[in-house]
Amino acid sequence: MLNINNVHKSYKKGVEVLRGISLNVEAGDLFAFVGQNGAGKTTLIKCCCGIHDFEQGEILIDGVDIKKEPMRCKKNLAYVPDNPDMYSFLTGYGYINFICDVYGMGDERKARLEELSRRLDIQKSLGLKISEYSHGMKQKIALIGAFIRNAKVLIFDEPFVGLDPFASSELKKMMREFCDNGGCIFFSTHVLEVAEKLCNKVAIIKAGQIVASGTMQDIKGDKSLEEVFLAGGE
Amino acid sequence: MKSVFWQLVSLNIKSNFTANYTTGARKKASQTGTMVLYLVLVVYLLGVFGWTAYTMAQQYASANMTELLVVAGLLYSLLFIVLNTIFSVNRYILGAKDYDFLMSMPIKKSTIILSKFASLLLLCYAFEFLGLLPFLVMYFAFSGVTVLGILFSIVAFIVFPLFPIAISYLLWLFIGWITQNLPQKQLITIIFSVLLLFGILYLSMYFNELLTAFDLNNVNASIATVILYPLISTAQAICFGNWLSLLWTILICVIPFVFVVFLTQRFYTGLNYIFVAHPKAKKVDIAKGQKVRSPFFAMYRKEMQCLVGAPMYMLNTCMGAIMLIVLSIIMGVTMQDVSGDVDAINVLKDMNLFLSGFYIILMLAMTNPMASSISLEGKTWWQLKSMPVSFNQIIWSKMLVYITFFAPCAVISVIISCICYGLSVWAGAVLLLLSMLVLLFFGLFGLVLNLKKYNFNWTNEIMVVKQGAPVMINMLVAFAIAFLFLILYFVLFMGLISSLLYLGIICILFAIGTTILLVYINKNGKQLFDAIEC
Ligand SMILES: Nc1ncnc2c1ncn2[C@@H]1O[C@H](COP(=O)(O)OP(=O)(O)OP(=O)(O)O)[C@@H](O)[C@H]1O
Ligand SMILES: [Mg+2]
Repeated sequence: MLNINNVHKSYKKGVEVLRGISLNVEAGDLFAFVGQNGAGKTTLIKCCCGIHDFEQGEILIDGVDIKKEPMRCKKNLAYVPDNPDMYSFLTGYGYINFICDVYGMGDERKARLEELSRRLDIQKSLGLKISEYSHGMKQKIALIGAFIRNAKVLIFDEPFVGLDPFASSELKKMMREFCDNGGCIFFSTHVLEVAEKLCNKVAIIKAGQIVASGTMQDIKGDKSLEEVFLAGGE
Repeated sequence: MKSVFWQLVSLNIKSNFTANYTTGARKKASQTGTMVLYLVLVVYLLGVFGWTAYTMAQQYASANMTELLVVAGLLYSLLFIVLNTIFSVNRYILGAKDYDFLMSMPIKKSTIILSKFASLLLLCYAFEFLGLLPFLVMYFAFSGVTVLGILFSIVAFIVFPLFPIAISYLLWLFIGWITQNLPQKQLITIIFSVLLLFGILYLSMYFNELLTAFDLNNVNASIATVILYPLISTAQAICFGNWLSLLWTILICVIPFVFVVFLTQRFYTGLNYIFVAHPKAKKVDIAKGQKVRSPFFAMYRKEMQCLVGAPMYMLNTCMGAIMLIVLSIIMGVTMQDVSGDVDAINVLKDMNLFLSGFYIILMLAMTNPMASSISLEGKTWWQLKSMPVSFNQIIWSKMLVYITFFAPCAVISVIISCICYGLSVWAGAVLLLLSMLVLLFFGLFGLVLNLKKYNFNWTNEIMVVKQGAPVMINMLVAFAIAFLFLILYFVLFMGLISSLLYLGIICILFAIGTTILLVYINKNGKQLFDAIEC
């Protein structure tokens, strides 16, 4: 579903932030992406969403090249950034409706929004301007915006940051369900325990290169993911 | 080691003038570019005011009233400073984005507040430099230099801005305070600001009559002289070397300012609360559902809400269009009556048509929301980039919002002009065509500017809306084109062709310009857009 082949990316000439990254996320995969601060997680994720251009390599979403047909790719993709900066002049409800309109959703949005806002416990604040939201509330609205439409690939950048324990646990369930229904999720995180329990695949990035990737079992063996990560991924 | 106070001041000033946060070599180049830009603007404005001062000086020298030059300079500075302060109270001194950050640091509250006022004051000195200096120079050139006069001028230059700052600050506080709990707070703010603009424009229409009311030798107690007493005493101090007037000036200007600073210091937290919007939650009924809209219309609505949601943004970017209406009303009402002679009436009609065209170009082009529409996305840029909307959908949704606001203003102003001046249908049609072409041309022009020079790292909308490099360039180009429009007519065409024909030619030029921009955007726009990274 999400195929990343040998991607190179640099912000400044000569300083490569991503140095030849290849990863494959299949349908049904819950794929965790871990690495130190500044390793290049956010950069890769932004490349996958068509936010950043990259010099070399290709990224396919559901078999379609993001560079060649960005519109088709973006329709199948939902992204939640690390800092949920959203249109602060809209209400949460207005924002969700805006997203649904842009992605061409019809009346089915009503039932979906009802369910999602109940699960993330945000119904009461939907009428508030986003400028008045707390960090976690913005995160919830961004997540609803991602889950509400029928995307095939979800890409999250540190989705658990700022969520309360209830929302966090609900989000884990929602992610699991989404993948069980044939979707795939690729997300970065610093919470290794969650990655270990939740995901079936994992990749470790270090200074712009993948040092380990594969199924959770293969990577960690009988150690914990934290031990493997701290040992440098080998 | 600089003291905390000066660090804060320089930070404030810098945040007012920083251009794009590009990196490396481009950063240097763009900083230099911005500096040059400001320099050009300053030289231009100094030229305009210098020229105005010079013509006035010649006029007043023969009537032996050169003191009025000083009054005129003070009046101009006053208007500048009032406008600047009013737009700075909200989001600059109070309700600023760095409030939490600064308050959390071990800095005294008084240092924070004083640094904010000091930055504002420095900015106002810049305005005073533009508004007052040319007139002072002309005054001394025409009535002789005295040591006392120069000395008093320097003192007056330093203390005078304190008065308009204090007054407009208090006025704005008062309005913020009475509207804080009203549901239509934003609308009231906008209406009030428009009224204020109206008043200021109206005053400047009667500038000469107003000036003559300020006969310094014989001050009579009219409303204007009472309200603007500090202005009179300042002028008296400079012109007559009057110690008492100087003392008065210092007292009248310093005391309100100290009061204002003290007030802010005392109630800082509460005042900040007034100026941060606290909208009530709307009732949401999910079960009822919402209308399904097309992607383009959804984009359009979003842009519209962005514009309407922030009165400061709207005022700063749409001021020209609003002023166009105000101006055409004032011009229409104050039009001279020419009765009898058919030839004279026709000449006047011709001139009025020409002037209407001039105002349309100047006002519609001066402020331009499109020049900051890309930068304004700021930290939400990821949203546009990750959505399946095309470049054309994005820019035309922005353009359409701009047109929605500006086109009706242009139409209304054209109708007013037609009625007041009794213009023919043809003349009205050409004016209308001209306004639409000007609108399109500058919309696209601002867009291209912003695509090339963007800034996503702002913390305060004003930074991109008012002081962004594309906004400045747009303004300069608008001035230049309006100026060319005047010069071309007076030098080449006046007397040869009617102004109707001249406007027709200008229409064709604008149509060509618009076409070139459209072709350029079609060819390079998407590349520029894709190259933007944040
Ligand atoms: N806009 C940018 N311009 C220049 N360099 C950047 C930019 N964004 C990121 N970088 C650099 O790219 C590298 C990778 O950053 P990235 O944000 O991808 O890290 P990350 O793995 O997401 O880190 P974190 O865990 O802290 O979120 C860093 O060295 C950073 O300095
Ligand atoms: Mg990151």
